[in-house]
Amino acid sequence: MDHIEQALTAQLYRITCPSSEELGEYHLHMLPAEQTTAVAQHLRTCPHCTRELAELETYLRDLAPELTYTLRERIQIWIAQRLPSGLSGEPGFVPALALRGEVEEPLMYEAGEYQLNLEIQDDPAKPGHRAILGLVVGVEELAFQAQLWQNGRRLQETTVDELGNFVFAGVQPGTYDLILSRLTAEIHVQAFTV
Amino acid sequence: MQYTIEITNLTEDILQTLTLSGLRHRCAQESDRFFNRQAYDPSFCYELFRRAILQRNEQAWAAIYHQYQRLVIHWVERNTAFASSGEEAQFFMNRAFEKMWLGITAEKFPTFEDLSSLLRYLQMCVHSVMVDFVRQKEHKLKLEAVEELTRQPAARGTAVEDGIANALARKELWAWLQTQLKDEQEQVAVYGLFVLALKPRDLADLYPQVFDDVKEIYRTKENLMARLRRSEELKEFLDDA
Repeated sequence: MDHIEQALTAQLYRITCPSSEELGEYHLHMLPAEQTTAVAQHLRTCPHCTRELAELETYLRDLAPELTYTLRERIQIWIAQRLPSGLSGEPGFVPALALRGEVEEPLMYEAGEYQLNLEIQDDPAKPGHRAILGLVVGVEELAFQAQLWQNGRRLQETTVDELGNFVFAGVQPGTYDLILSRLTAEIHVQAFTV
Repeated sequence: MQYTIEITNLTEDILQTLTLSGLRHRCAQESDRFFNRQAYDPSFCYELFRRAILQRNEQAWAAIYHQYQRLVIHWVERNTAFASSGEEAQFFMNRAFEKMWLGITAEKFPTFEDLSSLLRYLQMCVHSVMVDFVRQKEHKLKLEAVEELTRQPAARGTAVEDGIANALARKELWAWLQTQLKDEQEQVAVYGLFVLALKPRDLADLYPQVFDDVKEIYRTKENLMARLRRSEELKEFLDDA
């Protein structure tokens, strides 16, 4: 093969082939009819694309069992609703733990069969930071994990003790989500300000 | 004192109501169940995709990336082209996510009925980036073969500039070349020998209705090349390339 032939091959090699994603969407039956026909026609004459398509089929088939799943009943999720301050169904509805410093009006929530109290205080161990003292009251055994989130990122996690108390310390001022989760239920406290 | 308590529970509304944090948390929890082969609810992860794609929510997309990066790395490593690529799996993983982000538009999203179909598309994107890599490698080898013959390295700009300029130049050359072809035999010969880079014997097998035998392919090619070698336009195209 001389220089011109080599150069033509280098410049024209697979110039009419559909892109790899077009070939993939063809396999997944996602292309419009006209494009599907064009790719099908191309495949009749292109051993390279035919091979790539066969490899894609094998690849997806081999990985397919990893994508099968068994549906389950959806977990019970409660979006906590804020209660006006001073209202609570339980006597002595305040966290057992306390830190010294500035204390704001507690945030009280109801979430299905649970009630939740959050106290935001200055964190004496970390100036400029806050602490969240929480108390969950419910009818069942508690056994919750508490997670503090911000903008889709989990920042802290702790266990709710047997009396329903939990603490997040060293929290920077901002807006957070709190998620209390157990096997069958979750409480989401959305967008509260610290 | 009056107050209202709204309790949202076990309805489709919950998916719309959850914050990104709540959704990401649930998607992670359900995915853990899935990987532990337990019954699994895919609707939270699907909702993350829905927000990412329909609302072009980049934080939701970041959550998807975080949630599925290990799975995608695993898929990359299972691809037959990976072992000989000499690249890190992370490189292909990033390209696959980019491809999916660009590939699924809001118009296309309704065709994805469930999480499985979305993940199947992501798997397809993994294969697609591997194919792209192999295609580029093949093309580069062919360019290097030309450089060896001429002993002149091609001028290089940035990869993106080169890519766009080359693609345009190649299309122009292909369009021009087709105007130079006299009959079906020449068209098939150019397509088979230069576009598909087939050997004449393979081309004869592929097109028995166009060529009686392999000698006819050689004859057609020689006639065509004799004309092309005299062409100043072709010389310009190839010099520019």
